[in-house]
Amino acid sequence: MVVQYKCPNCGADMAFDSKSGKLTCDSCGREETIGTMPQSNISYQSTDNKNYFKENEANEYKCNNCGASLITDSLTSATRCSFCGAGVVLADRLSGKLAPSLVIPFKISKDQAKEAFKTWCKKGLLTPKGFMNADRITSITGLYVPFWLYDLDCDGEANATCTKVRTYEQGDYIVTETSYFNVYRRVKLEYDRVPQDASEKMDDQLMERLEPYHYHELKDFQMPYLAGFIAEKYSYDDKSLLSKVKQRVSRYVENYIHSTILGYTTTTYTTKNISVAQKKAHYVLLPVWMVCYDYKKAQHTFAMNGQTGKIVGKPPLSFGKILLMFTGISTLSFLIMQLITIIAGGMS
Amino acid sequence: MFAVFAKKHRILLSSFTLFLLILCLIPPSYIKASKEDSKIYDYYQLFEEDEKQDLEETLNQYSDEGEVDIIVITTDDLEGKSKQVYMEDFYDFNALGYDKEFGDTVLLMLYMNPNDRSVEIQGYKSAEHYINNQRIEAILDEIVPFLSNGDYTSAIKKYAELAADYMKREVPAPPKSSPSDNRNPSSSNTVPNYNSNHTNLSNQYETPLLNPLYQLIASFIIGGITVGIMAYNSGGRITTNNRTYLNESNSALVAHHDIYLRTTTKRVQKPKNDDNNIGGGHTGGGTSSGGHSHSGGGRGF
Repeated sequence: MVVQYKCPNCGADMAFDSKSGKLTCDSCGREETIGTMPQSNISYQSTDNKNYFKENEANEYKCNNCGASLITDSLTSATRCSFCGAGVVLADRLSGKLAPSLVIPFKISKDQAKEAFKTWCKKGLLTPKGFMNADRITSITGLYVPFWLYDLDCDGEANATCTKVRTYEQGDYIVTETSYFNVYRRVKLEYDRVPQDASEKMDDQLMERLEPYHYHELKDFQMPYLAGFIAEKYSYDDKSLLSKVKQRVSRYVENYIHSTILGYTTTTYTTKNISVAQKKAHYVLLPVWMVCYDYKKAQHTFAMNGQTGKIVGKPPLSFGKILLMFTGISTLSFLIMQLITIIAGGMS
Repeated sequence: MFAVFAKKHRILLSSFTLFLLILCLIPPSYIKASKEDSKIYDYYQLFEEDEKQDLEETLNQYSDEGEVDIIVITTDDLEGKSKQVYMEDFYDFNALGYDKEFGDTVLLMLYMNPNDRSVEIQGYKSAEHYINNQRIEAILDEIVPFLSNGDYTSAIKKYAELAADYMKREVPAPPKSSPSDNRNPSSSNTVPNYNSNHTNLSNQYETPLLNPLYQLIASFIIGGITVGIMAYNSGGRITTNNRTYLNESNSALVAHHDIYLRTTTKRVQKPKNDDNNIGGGHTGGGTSSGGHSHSGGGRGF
């Protein structure tokens, strides 16, 4: 099932505009609020069951405009027609079990993303000069990445032996007094909407670095948000990713417990019990700009948080700059220490 | 470099005042006496006259043998200086040396203050090379038992014998030093070798924190870590932490206790043969206010 949004004015294809948060027509500039888009202007490929789509009912999709085959892989849920450029949404891949409950729409437009990326390249203190100046973005793609947001109940319990050490001098002796304590902590914690990327194509670490997304801008999912962007459906369901999230949150709980044990010199845990239970998982689409960048014949891929503009990805590093930085910082700290020496020498 | 200058400046100033003070205090006849071939400066009057004669002979004999001025000082009054500085000033003031003024000299001082009885040895000029810090430690190992038993004459004879012996034996090349450090022993006025140079640095500053060498190493570590973190974070930092997704209103510490179990106490005697001055023993040379660098070492007995 292919869905396209036609401009009520001129009939051209409309796309979601990150700036206004509305569907916008590129040809005549008409804006249409997402909730009020007239049904008659939503073009469906098959007209008999407008409001109900079965999951994954078709394997091949055709553009409503030009009839060309849409080149998609099995996970794509929104794309652009590679012939006429119309933004199309594959509705059956967003329905039933595959229907996202929430979405954060793009807030950063393509041009802003390009600009932000260029600024970021220039900011890199260790990146080679050529990388900073060159303007070789080969492609920039707005992508809605499927995520699961988990609500979790955590119960953490820990026993530890802690010590307080006091050292003082007594005559010719150095006395070390070590006091031992049995320390117990139990915490009940609730973690809300912990994200886990559900797309197998995306690098988990890269996605984790993109966080955090600001959840106050989460919207109930509606298909028009995807118009003009690429979207994917999840490749893993919430159950199969739960263990990953549990691992991550267990770490959080451990840190939390540790932060409640204060005032000791050493802490040695004897027992630790942490249980994490899933209360709920929300299927959401989060906006990511993927930037491919050509540098010295190698492709570098960067990801940008489509809401906050945070950029992640490994830029090339310049050996010369690293050396320069290292020398600079070392010299500076040496001078500071020398200064301290003079001050200390002056006082004694 | 500034620090060294400031440090020297301060020492210069204070030692100059002290120098004037000493000039006023010491009778002229003594200055004359010190210029003679006396090896023992027994201000504490530790030795009987005949003992002194005997030692004087022994020291002269070993001095000739080792071609080095082997000097002994006994005192319980440092005139407000540290032991090292007192000896440095002593060397500068008396212009000691075997073949010439400010020449090859090894100094031993018995500090007889009842609160801090200790022995200190310093080597100047070629004695800085031949009687380096390690060898001073070896000499101290030999003589401290005598001193502890109150057998001062035997201790001094042993010291003279070892000093003369060491002057004739080449120092094994210290590890890590370049071949040029293994220089010809006959050139007595050469720059101190790698080893003593290194220890000079470590002794000139009260704490390792003020030592330029350590500071240099520390700055390299700081630089390395900073650049490492920068390189690691060049791909974007993780800005979420264990509080980012925490629902504070539904989270709490629900139970806790801190039960005192026991206290253990460990008493350790303050180190005696340590590198720092607290225990009375130390190793390391320095530079006198007159600009003469030396090796050194001492310990209590």
